[in-house]
Amino acid sequence: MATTELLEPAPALRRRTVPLGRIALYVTLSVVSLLMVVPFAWMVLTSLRTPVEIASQDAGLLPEHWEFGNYADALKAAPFATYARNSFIIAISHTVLNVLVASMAGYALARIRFRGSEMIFYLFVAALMIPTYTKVLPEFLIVRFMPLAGGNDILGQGGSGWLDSWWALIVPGAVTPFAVFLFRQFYLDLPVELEEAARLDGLGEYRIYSRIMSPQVKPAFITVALLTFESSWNNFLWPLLVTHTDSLRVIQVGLSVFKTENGTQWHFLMAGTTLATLPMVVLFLIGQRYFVQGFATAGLK
Amino acid sequence: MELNRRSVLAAIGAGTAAAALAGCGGGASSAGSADGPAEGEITLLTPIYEGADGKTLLEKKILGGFRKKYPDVKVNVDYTTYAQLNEKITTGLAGGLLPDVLMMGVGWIPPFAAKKAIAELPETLASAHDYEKRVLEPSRYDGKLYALPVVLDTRIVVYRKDHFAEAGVRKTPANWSELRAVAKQLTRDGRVGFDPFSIDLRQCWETFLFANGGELFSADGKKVLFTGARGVEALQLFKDLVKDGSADYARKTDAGAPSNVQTGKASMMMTTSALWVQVKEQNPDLIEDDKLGSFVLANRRPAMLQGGTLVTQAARSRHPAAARALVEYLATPDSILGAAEQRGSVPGLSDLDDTGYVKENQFVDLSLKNLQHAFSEGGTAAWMEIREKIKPTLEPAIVGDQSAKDAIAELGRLAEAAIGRM
Amino acid sequence: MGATTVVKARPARPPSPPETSAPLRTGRVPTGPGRRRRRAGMLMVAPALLHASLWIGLPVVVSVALAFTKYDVLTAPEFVGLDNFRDMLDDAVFRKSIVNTLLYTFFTVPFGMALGLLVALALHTGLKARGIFRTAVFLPQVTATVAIALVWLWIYNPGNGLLNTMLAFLGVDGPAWLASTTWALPSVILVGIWQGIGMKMLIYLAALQSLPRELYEAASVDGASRVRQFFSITLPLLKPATFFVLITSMISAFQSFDQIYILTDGGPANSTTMMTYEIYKSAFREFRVGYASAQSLVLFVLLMGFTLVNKRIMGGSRGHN
Repeated sequence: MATTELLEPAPALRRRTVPLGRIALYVTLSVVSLLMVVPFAWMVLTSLRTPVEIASQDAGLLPEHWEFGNYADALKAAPFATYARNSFIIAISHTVLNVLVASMAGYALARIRFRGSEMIFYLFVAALMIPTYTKVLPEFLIVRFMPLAGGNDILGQGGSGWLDSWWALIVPGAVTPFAVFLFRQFYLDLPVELEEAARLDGLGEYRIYSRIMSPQVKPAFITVALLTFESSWNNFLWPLLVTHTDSLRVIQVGLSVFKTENGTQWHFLMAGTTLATLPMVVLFLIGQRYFVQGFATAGLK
Repeated sequence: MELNRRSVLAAIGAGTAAAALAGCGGGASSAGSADGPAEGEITLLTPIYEGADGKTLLEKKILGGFRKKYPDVKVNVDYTTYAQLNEKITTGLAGGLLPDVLMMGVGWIPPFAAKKAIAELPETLASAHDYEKRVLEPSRYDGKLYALPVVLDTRIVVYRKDHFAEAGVRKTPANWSELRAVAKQLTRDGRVGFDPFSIDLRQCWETFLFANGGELFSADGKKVLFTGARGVEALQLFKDLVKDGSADYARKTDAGAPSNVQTGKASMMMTTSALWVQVKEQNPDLIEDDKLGSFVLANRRPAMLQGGTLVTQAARSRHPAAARALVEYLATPDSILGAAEQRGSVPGLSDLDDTGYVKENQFVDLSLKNLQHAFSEGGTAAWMEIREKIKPTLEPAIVGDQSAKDAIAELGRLAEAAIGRM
Repeated sequence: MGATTVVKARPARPPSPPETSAPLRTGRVPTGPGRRRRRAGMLMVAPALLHASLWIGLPVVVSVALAFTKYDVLTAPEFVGLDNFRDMLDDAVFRKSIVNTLLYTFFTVPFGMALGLLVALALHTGLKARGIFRTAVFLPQVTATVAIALVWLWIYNPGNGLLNTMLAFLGVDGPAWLASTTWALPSVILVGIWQGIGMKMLIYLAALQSLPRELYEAASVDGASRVRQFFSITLPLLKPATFFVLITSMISAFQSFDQIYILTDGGPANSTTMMTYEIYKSAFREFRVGYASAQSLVLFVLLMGFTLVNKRIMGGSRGHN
């Protein structure tokens, strides 16, 4: 892996040179990783089996014949290209908007004291506490009665509002209190000298935020970006509720065609699901490498 | 902080909230006349016709024929899944945007009809095709017709002929004492004689209740009838089977795993008619070697629980004539045979019993032959609430040491409370 | 790769607000910079606050209002005062779900946090292949819930499941796990811990990156042992992150839904049902939206109470400063 050449171990564990300890660490981590990977591996292996083999009681660990054809057949079961494009547009929009808007808010709540800032912070925390199934119906109603949209009048009557539109798919989930909270906690810890020096240099608050402070919390940006992308990509219920046209449907809705009341086509479902999971795994593999780099540049004085 | 938040809200959204709440009162207004010419643009909400195949069947074949007959009607299809159908309908109703034509499950008609969310259909439709009387029961509320069946899925018993032969069992059990004896006889190490629990406990108990001559509710849906001996005996039978060691609640088929009768972990199993398609795909040899048989559960009478998908018309359609035409069309023999074939279900019309599909699928064939023994859950406006209580309330009698009598009595109390809230 | 380019591009492209941030002149009134800062702060919070007010605040107001109504979606809401709350008192299943939710939270949160931190510490090293290990630990976060559920169902299967097969080797007759009223909740808790480690590790990993290494160098010079360094430097510096992980894990434990929905459906005999599961059932399976809103209100009040207690224990969210 390329990451091995990247910088230095963390100071906390660096001095440890006893090889025995190292080996124990590797063994432990391998066991933990194995426990974490099992469902994923099972998903991939199932996607390559025949239905007969899936049902068989004495199937081996690896598929007898690797049925790569499952992938091609699964993709034929629904317009997955359209669904994937839609999911991608939504996930990218959510990621960009969330990273921008929530980091600004998190920064302001962490570093600038203004009237009500503490209160606003706790409102964001409180907002996290509302379960999806409590919000979903009122949110749907807001979308449906959105004034002056989709044929609605100023009171939101007469048309269908934002239903069946990109607005409904993107706007309600664009900013999460989770991200605001996370950014705030990360900005909190930065040394005050950093911004004071910048202020003396005559930088305004937006520049301090964007040029000085934000580069220090790069891992927070990556974390929020990864998690936002992931939850947006995996969202199923909301896109299903607010759309009815097939061309606006998303990948998770597409995958549901393999699960019917009368049984599930596991080989296709797992093939489709594996494909749908890949972008997130790749993003994580790339994203986590930046964690080390963020550390490397943090040591400015 | 409350003040602060309120003022922000007032500025941006109070109007919306008011409008939202005001818009909630949907259903009450009366259905438009369905007598005019069928024209206009309507929406169909469906949890079936899944996937590309389903879409081709519905939009090309079925709706293609519909368009020829009604060229002035345009149908937009909103596909959903059964698991999310409730959410879809709930939000649609709250937003005052229920689709013109809806497909829903057995048991849903009375609650929706009682609240006037769906429109009454003319009685002539009940005799338009060769319907078995019982098949139309879930389509009715208060004696009136509100829906038509599209596909049915029945709950039957499937058994292993090879296990029967091996244990020297010659005929399928005709009542519960035979069932109990046969189950005991078939039980071996690592295999249970009878697995009633691999279908949902609610549906399972209902099937046994009906087979025992019991009923769920009175005809008007206002009285609970299952609390008597018939209901208790049905639950007690499960306890007895478990005590005999010939059934095991913990060894029901896991989600996603092949069913116990396929793997041979059970010799008899309650299941749905749709199992045939799964077996054909996963264990074709069981069918080739003729190892699977099926029968209808019986005690005081034979009973087969009937589930399925019905098509109905929203009360507030802007184009009621077009919606009515679509309801009728989706329920024609041609349409339902296609839908049944696509998902391995039972086409609920007796005159389809000699089609190739039915002949080939033994479970569907058995179901069609026994439609006169079909029973349905529901029958009360409070069904949505009661159906959720059945499984968790009866489970303590099976996995715990609660008596069957107490569990049924508790369920009776919950059901009466739910009916009282209507 | 989309997300990373976004992150990279961000510092070069400051967000939209107009450039009011011209260099400050010392000649201006002394209150100037402070006021300007405050205004900038408010402007920076505004977009997120407006968004949350509309998409969370307004739904909360609507659902608080609905908590005092009978609303079945089919007919207009009807004011019923405290009836829903009275019904809740008689609702043994909802009471059970509160107990289950508390137990679930009480076990998943501390164990999950400790494991998440341990894994993060282990992977915050110069270990070879740490990228692979990190990804492996994060995988449950992105693996489809249905795949996770099926594998755990197989592990817990009383007949030929992995767990009982292993126990049989040791001569132990394993219980029925998910089908047992005693063992179902612990089984679900184990899955909850397992699934939450990835996210907690990720956040701790990110937080560990921003720790100033100078402090460690100074401590090493002073001869502090690594265990002491951890307790006297790392842990206190991680306080803001720990506060975040604690609060968000607690909230998500209170709202756990997917595992229940797929693994046990709340059973057997309600032994694993949780509050959000009951809320979901009331609203979308039973069409009792008013009742579900009242249940949500109880959930919210409970969570709020726990958050305040935690805030007090942690000495405020500001951490060490």
